[in-house]
Amino acid sequence: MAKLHKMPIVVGLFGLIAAAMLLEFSVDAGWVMQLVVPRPSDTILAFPDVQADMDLFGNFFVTLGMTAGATLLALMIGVPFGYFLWRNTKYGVAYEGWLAAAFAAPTVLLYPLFLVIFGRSHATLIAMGFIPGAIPIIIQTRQGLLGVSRTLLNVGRSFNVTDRDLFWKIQLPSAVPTIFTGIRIGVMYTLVNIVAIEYLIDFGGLGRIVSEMYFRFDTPGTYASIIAVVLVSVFFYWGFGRIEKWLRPV
Amino acid sequence: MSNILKSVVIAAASTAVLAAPALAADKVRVINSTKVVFEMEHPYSAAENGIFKKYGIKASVIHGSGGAASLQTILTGSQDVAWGNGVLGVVSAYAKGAPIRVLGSNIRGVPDLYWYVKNDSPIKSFKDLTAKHELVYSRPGSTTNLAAIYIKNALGLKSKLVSVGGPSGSRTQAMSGQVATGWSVFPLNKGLIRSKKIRVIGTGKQAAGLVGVTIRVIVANSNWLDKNRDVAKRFMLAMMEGRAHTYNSVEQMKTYAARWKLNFDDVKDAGNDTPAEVTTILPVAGLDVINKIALENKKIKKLLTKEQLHELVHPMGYKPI
Repeated sequence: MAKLHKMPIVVGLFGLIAAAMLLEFSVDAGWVMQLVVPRPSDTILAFPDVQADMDLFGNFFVTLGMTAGATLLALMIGVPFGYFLWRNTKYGVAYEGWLAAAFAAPTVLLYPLFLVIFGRSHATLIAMGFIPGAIPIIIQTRQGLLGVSRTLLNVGRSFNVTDRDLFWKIQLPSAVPTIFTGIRIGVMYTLVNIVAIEYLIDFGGLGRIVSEMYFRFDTPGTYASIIAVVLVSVFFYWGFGRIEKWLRPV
Repeated sequence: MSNILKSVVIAAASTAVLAAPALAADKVRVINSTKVVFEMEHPYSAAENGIFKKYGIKASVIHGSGGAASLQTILTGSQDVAWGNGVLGVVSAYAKGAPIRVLGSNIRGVPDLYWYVKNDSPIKSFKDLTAKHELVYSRPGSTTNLAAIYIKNALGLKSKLVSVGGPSGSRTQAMSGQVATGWSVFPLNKGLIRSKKIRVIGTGKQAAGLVGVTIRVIVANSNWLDKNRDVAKRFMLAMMEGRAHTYNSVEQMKTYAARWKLNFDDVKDAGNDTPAEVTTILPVAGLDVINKIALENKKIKKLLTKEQLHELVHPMGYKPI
């Protein structure tokens, strides 16, 4: 048991396989309707068909690219804006509530407006993905900088470091975990919004395939394309984990 | 005394027999596949005018958010009957083993669909659409997609077919000039026609290949149907009457307008926009055509056999002969 704790990936995979086997058995036994939830084995077998029919692999990269673009934009605007709100306390206090409210709002429903502004294009997807991605990054960047331990700051000052060094060598590294929490939340919301818009307007990558398969009542195909969406999510989760470790190795 | 007693017993028995349907009305859970569309009014008409009650049925009527989502409720058994589902989706689900059966036709052809342009557009009719113009539809494999393909082929148009989503999304994109045309279904957006903001350039009547072909159907869960055959037959009779009531009652049209907050002026001609002769519950026609279209649109992987098509349709709730 103690050894298992050292192998989280193995434990996770074991749980996943066990759940898949249970589902397989449940579908076979008729406890779960096959038309609603397919056998995991059927879902795996559906991948080649969906690839041949809808270019699942190519569309995986379309959704991945759209999500990466929107997230990058969210980072470029979110982190500096979060920093600005931290530096300017009045603005920070004034806007934090508004940002939290905006984050809770179902911005995906604004897609007709974005269609008018950006047209039926990838720009709409990126813009719709950017909004829910940027807000948690802004909030968490401010929170991360606010939460830097006073002890650490005092230690820095005792060494007579400049304000610039204090920020880059103490405050930012200390805030990184909180900022990355915001980034992880942001990228997930970005992905959800992008896939939802793809589904709704029948444009773009994986969301369009999910929609197509769903409307064909091709349940294994639907789940295969949903798994592809999950893989996009896993990629970003893993990727940002690596970047965080690189930025803050200890 | 015995005569009086007999009379009392007979009167009591008669009352019990007459009251029985009301007391033990059979429940039917109905889902309209979408809202606002004129044919979706018939279940409300039957429910609100005592027609279901007359046939010993207590129906609950809800509406879904489109064909696929509504059909899901039927194949999972959470609803018993879906009213007005797209036949392609039904054929597709049936081919994959869904426990569903068609009880009747909801509409043959697509006369209630129409395409429009902004009022200041130089396009006057479908025939003015060129290769640089978009002829829009909701989503691939949908009824509007079929109609657009058939219209394009029938009129030899060169225009691009573009998916724009439902009527509201289509309106946004057409009015903002992103696409040359918009699509809608009568009586939706008729207010814009009346106020001369948009202009109709053609209707689904021009999809010649779909004329007489059942496009939307009434579909039931087959397990429910097997156990409630008599209920299904009575339900269908009630729906025939409900449909007739919608077409013939001005009051019902007013109710329809009020239900969806439509202008009565826009709905009073619904009977012309959606002619009664194409919405009769029988026949369910042209399934062989639909079978081929379903294959072409990848809704099914191989054509349904004659036996499957035969098994699929239970007209008015009766087993196919």
